[in-house]
Amino acid sequence: MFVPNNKPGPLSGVTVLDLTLAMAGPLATSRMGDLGANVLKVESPSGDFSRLWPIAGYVHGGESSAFLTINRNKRGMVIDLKADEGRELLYKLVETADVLVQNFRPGVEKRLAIDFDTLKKINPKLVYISISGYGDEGPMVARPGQDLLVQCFSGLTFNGGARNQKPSTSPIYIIDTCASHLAVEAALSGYIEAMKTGKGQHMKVSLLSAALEIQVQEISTYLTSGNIAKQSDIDAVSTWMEPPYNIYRTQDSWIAIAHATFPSVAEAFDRPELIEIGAARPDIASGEPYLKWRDQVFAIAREEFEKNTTEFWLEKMTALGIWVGPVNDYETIKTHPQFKDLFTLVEGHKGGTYTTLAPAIRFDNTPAIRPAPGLGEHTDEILAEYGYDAQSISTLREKQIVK
Amino acid sequence: MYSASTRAPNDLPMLDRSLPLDGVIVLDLTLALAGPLSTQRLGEMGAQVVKIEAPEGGDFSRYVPIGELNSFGDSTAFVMMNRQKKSVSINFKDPEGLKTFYRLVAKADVIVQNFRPGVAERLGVDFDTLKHLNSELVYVSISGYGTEGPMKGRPGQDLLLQSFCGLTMNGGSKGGNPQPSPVFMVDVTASHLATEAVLAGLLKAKKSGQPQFAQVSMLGGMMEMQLQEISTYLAHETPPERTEFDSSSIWMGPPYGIHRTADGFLAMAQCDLEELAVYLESAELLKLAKNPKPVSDIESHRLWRDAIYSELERVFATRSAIEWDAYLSPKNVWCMVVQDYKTFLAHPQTQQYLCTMSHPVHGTYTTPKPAIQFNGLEEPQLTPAPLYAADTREVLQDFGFSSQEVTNLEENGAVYQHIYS
Repeated sequence: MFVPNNKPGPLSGVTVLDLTLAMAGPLATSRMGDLGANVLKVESPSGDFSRLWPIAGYVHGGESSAFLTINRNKRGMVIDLKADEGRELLYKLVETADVLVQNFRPGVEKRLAIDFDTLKKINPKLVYISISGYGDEGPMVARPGQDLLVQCFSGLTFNGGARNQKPSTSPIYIIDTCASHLAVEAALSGYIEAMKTGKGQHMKVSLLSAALEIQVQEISTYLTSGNIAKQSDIDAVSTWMEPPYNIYRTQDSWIAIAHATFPSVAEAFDRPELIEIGAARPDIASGEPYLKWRDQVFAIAREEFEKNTTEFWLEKMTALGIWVGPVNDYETIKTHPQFKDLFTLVEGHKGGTYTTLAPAIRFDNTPAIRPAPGLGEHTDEILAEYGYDAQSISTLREKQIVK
Repeated sequence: MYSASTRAPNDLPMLDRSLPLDGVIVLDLTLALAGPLSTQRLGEMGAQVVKIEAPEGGDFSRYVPIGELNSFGDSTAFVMMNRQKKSVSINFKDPEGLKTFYRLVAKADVIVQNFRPGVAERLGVDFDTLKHLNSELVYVSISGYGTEGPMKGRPGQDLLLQSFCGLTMNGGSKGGNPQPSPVFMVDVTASHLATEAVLAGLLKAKKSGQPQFAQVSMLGGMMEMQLQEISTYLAHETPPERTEFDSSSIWMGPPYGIHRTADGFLAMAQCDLEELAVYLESAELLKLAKNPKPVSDIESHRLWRDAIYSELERVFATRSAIEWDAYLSPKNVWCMVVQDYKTFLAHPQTQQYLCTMSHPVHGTYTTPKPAIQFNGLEEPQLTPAPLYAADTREVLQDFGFSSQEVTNLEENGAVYQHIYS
């Protein structure tokens, strides 16, 4: 189990205003929190809707289990940005902030008067990051920036599977997480530049640009060659990779095979004809002959793998230098020694402890992990840091500007 | 790290504005995908990236194309992950080569490497050795499975890691095939973590005046990418299971997933089932929507779920995906026509993300723009991936080696310059 050493992380001293909802934005700011930044999650009076949108219906202490992890290492406050006084309060926070991250739909930030052009007058060093679904123009701008929908829009799902079968989606939220990375990269590089020049800037990332970047290999290859690796009749993990690259059923479970030469696979399976088949590979541009050839290799691999156990194949193939691995589920990884250092124990904001993921980037300094804030949990504490006395805080509360 | 003295003279073409990492020098010791993509991103932020390659051919991924496509003399995929760099070939196993590298380290800001655990130490290019050469060095290592544990020596390959980390069981159907992601998201994620570690390290090194060491792993990246699913799994006794219906995510309730229509496929994200039932004029769906089964009763939940999917299958089969999208989307139902690259890359929404570049072998080509859009820099200036060992002489001279020194090093086999006609 990973234990933070409680030293200030590399981003200590950097203040981040987090005006984001759902996943890509909150994950970006929590990663900055993992690295030691002072992250203030500013929520509307009704709060980030994803508090109450658990995946698979699972909640912990009344809130979504997923929300709790995506929002750790932040303090939370509630400000009504639709009220003039609420907006003024945000402006006050902006004065000394280094980074602001928002993922409103395009246009909302202008309506609320918290767009970059407005805020840079208050703080010229402010690095302003917006995360959109599809950019800020074009026919799709108003469409929901949701992970599965962007996967499907961006051509990703036809990189695997079999022809005429269902498109092959990624079973986890790869678009949101990659967009969250882009947002952190934008924030940090923008902050480095602001340190040098004294000037902040507006940097934009989108779920769509994240989707393009994830597929840089496949899309670039398609764009430059005009060739697309098509689906064949046998289900493939990636249409772009040479067989036997795939996941196969074995006698007792599954096995994944990545890189292998035809002679080594021929030896492992004791199917010498595979050497000849490998040498007779038609050109990919030949279309159907290539697909038929590919399915011939897949079919032999399917047949052979089913004859023995995963353990047997792992041992035999690894010895031959073939890149193979087991296909685990979460139950296995929970206790597998390789994951030992990747889990950590955190206290819930409503009490109790829970096991969650350790930070993915390790410096020598790793700050303590702070649980996700309750709605408005730190409003008073943060306002006090910005010089508000008890009287003015309670006035703001009475007017329902803060909560 | 920002002083003019560390800035090699042979810079990228003049830009109309500065970029965040102008003047930062990155020595890129990486191979394959995760490392090269992370340093390319640093190059897109303005850093000067020197790709240091081994003698006799360098980065193996120059020669390992995906889809067997080479349009550039090198693998197309290689070219896409190595723009904004120069290529220098140094033989680390030669003492003069190692000394040459140390001279570069003294003037550099960042080193990124993705050797298997132990290799950097063996070559004498590990953090503990190099930190003495440069007091503000930022050193980031990328591994497959971390530096300890039973898997540390295994190949850090994308599909194998997806399979290892439990990911593939989040989709698909009961008893059916595991459901991996059809793109290389393990590598891409590790590349992001490495870029973030470099940026955070640069900040810290600048502020503290001390060298910084950070480690990321593909496995750690995959844990983070699945944090919703894994955290939820860990917090509960009875995680959801795969059902009969082939699911895009077992964690999401119906109608989430991909649906076959009369022509093409329609993706549906979260929505209000009762509303959807009304829009689809399905009494059966309305009945099911009004009677959701509790999550805790796994078996009845599974039956409820599959009953909905099967009803949706019936309804969606009556019209094409484009028709369903045109009908449902204006009602704020979260749906999407599932596109392939041909449709996606021709779509008007996509054009703002593409640009053209030119390559010395291939000529002009279309490719995705850098994913982060910097203020006032609508059209980034990009340089193509370097040809193998094309810039050795030029870069060494930029770092202060005399022409004679470079010639001697070349003759001794410590460095290598390839001559392209």
